[in-house]
Amino acid sequence: MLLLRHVSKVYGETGHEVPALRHVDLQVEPGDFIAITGPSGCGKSTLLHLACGLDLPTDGEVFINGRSTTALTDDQLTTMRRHEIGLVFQSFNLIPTLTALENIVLPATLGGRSFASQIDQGRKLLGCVGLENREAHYPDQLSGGEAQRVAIARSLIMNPLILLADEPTGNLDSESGMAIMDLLLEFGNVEADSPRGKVKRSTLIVTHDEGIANRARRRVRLKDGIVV
Amino acid sequence: MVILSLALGVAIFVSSYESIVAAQNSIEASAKTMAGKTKWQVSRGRFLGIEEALVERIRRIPNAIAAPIIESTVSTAAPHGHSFLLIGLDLDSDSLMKLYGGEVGDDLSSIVALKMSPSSVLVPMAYARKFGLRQGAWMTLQTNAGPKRVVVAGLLRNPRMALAAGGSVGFMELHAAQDVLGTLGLVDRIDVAGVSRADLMVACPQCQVVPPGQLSSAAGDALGRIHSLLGVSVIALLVGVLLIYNSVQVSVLERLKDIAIIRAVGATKLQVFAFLLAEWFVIGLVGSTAGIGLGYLLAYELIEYTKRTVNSMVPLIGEAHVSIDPAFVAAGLVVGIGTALIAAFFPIWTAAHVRPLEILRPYTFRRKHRYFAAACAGIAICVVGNFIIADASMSMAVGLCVTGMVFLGVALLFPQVVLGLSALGRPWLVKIRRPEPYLALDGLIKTPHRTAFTIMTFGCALAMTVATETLVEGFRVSTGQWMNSAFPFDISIVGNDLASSVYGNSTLAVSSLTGVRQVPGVSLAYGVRQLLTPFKGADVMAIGVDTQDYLDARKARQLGDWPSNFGEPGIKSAFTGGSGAFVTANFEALYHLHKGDRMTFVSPSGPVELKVLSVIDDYSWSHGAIIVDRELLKKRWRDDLLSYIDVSIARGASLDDVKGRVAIEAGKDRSAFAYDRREIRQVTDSVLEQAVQMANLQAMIAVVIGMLGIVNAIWIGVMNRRREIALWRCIGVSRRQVTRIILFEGLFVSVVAAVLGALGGLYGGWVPLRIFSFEITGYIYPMVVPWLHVLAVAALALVLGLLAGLPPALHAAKLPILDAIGYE
Repeated sequence: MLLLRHVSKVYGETGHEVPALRHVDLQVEPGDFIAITGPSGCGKSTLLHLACGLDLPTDGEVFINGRSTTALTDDQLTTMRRHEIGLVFQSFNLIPTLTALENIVLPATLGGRSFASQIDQGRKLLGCVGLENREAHYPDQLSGGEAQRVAIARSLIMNPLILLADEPTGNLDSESGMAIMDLLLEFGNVEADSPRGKVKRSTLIVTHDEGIANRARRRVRLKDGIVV
Repeated sequence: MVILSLALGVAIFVSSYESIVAAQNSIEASAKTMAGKTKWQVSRGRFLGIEEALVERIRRIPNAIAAPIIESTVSTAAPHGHSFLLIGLDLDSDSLMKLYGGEVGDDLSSIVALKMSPSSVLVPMAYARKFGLRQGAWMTLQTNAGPKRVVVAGLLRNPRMALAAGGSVGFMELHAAQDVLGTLGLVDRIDVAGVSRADLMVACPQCQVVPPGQLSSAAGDALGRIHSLLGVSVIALLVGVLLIYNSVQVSVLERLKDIAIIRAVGATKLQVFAFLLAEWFVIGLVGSTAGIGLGYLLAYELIEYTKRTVNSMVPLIGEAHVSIDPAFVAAGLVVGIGTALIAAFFPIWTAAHVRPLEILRPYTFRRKHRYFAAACAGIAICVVGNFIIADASMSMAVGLCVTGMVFLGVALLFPQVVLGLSALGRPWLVKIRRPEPYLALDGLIKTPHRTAFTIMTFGCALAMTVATETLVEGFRVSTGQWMNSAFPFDISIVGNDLASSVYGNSTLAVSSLTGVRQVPGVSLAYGVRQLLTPFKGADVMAIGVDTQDYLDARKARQLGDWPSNFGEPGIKSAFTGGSGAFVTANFEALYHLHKGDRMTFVSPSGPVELKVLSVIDDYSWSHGAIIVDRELLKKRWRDDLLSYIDVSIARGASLDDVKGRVAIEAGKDRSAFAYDRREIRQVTDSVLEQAVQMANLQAMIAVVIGMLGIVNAIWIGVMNRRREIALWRCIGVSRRQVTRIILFEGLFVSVVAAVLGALGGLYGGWVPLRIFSFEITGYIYPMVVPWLHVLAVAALALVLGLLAGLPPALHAAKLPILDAIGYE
């Protein structure tokens, strides 16, 4: 489902290179729930960016559902992100001018589906994250935990095969963090649509919180850009 | 971009002001030079002439210095036909030297030559060089008495009087000039010094005694039209004010977080306020300095437009130079810096007083926008402004103030309008299968005031073009209707070339009328005389027509009664009998004389009392006109000349053939130019276009400023939303979609701006129609909506809006996602 083969990523210009990842190999299978852990600056987020096609490796290859990200155009990568990957950010990154429901439905409308046709699905997801009564609220009217739940619901609207979460509990108190982790575990264990039929969703979560990481089914530890 | 916009705004103001001032200075310098030490000018109006004998009567008043002057515009013969101001001077008396110093008298040999030869003229050297004339050369002048040959007796080195008429001037001995002009015993005016006005009124009770330097009616008319353009530049500057206000808002909002941090670490409100105000003082200084420089450069070009506009009506401006006036440069700086500071004041004040914690708190993007109170104030200002406008008798200055007031009212109202429109439009946009339109709308209403002012900036610039065209269309349609209903002829023959100047005073001989009637292909011809005559302190036009022939021509063209009550008992007999006249609508409005009233005119044969028989629409003269039977002008005004010969061609005759033949026939003994109806229409249209050329240029610059405003606002919007745009990209928005979202922003702004521009322009066209056009042009036009122009402006707005959105859209699409989203 997701394969990183000998992936390296170097930032900076010639003479001032900063290696973020070095020859990383990682295979994510359907139904996997992997926690990427490690200290600050070890390359966790870089790995996540490469895994969703937001960035391209300096060396090696990233395969998402069998397609190498380096062989795809920007438009193809965008379409892939839209349909096959769900993204959750540390700082929620909701669009401030849209209501909770509109934020959730937005990715679905990008592909040409009408807003009205997605409302039911959006409400259903809002219900799943326990925010039925918050659909008309704007992000600044939600608590941190609520905003992250909306972000999770948004990442699931396209029923993606892969769910990537970058420090999803980093801005939350421990109680809210655990609740979010429950949600991720719940949604990470469902079946998603793929060209080959129903496939169990894979989840990759970046965290430096050991408590959160311990709840993952598999752990990958990074140190100085190397899997240890 | 802000500095550029500010510079353009100041440049428009400076250039229009300076070019108008240069033209006015040129005219006033001519008038002042022509006046010399003269204190009073005695005449019977500018066109009636005064008996030469009166000179001696005035000279008998103790200490009086009196110099009789003849001043008549004639034209020179082809191939270099042009207007030529012929000045007749009394060389026998010392009054000339006393009043004008060595103007002509410093060259004794020239004076002797002038006195020795009865038909000699002195011309300025520059003029002689321009037309290849030497001493002893002959010139042919087309005068009311027919063509006259005069010899160049001498060349004057640099006569100050040559400032008049652009140096196209000739000096003759008084009686020689009378002979050439056919006005024996008459002079145009007597220039006087050393006596009081009261003494002069006693010496000549029927005379007008006025200080020198007053502009002729036509000159005043032409300058009035030019002055109106200053109003346009004020509106352009207001557009600039909005743009600056908008830019300051954007700039301050963009740095709200920095301001909050500075405040959080201990800066006082006053320190923040002073720091930001100082920053905008510098921006104002740089922008206005650049604007003044640009304005002066532009003024050099605009002066040519001004010259052409004035000279197309009456040849008046010769050399006009833009001079750098330190006082005006200082004023320009004050205007520019003041504009920047005024526009910056409120956004800076707000920024300095906002609580730092509010800004530093996450999710403060969706601020609560409260514009209701401002909108109410805006509505109140607009209502009051419109009440004032409803009083059409206000002065132009008050009118401009009220226009500014309404502008302010709309500016206060518009943020709420933007919010209202978005609230109305968003549910519809959400229903569209694409998210781009509503995401664009959301982006715009994040900062309603910025969007509102961007729309206003662009909309007002568009409104300027619509308003100008509304005025032009009103004039075009009304003059077109007038020409269709009042001109029954196919060809009109005139004595001066309408292509060079509309208000020439060349005439045709009555004998030409007889000749023209016999030209093959002519079915009917009649004569028209137009002369200016004093009335209630102004020069009104008396139009004399050969009534019966004119009526026959109307009948042949199947035009209705002229005027509608012409068939009523007593009207025709009073008109043809010389006891009544028709008056034009602007005459009725200017002098408050209505049908049935009586009016008295001064004529060379004494007072002439006429009854107002009817009021008709006529656009011949901005100071009002009366229409009488030509016999009346012959008998009472002692004028048997023709200004036009109007010709109807026989059925089947070729218009071009007949036109050529009548021009030759009428031009046998003097210049004559034949025009068909289409050509006359072209002349009136071109005069109109000349007059609005400068306004159109200013409006186009304002449109460019408005467009820069859109680029500015959308670009800053993109910069402010880098993170949001990157987020869109993360969740699957493609680059093309980002481009489309930003282009939609430009499109939305331009759509609303186009509507505002159309409505504001029509309003702006209506206000001057009510307030200014009568004061400036003397005519009362109907309002005509220039639909085609409105549609063209709307289309232009959409194209410009998209173009303005393109650079920020491309920039947004290329934003590096990870940098913008602020990872790592």
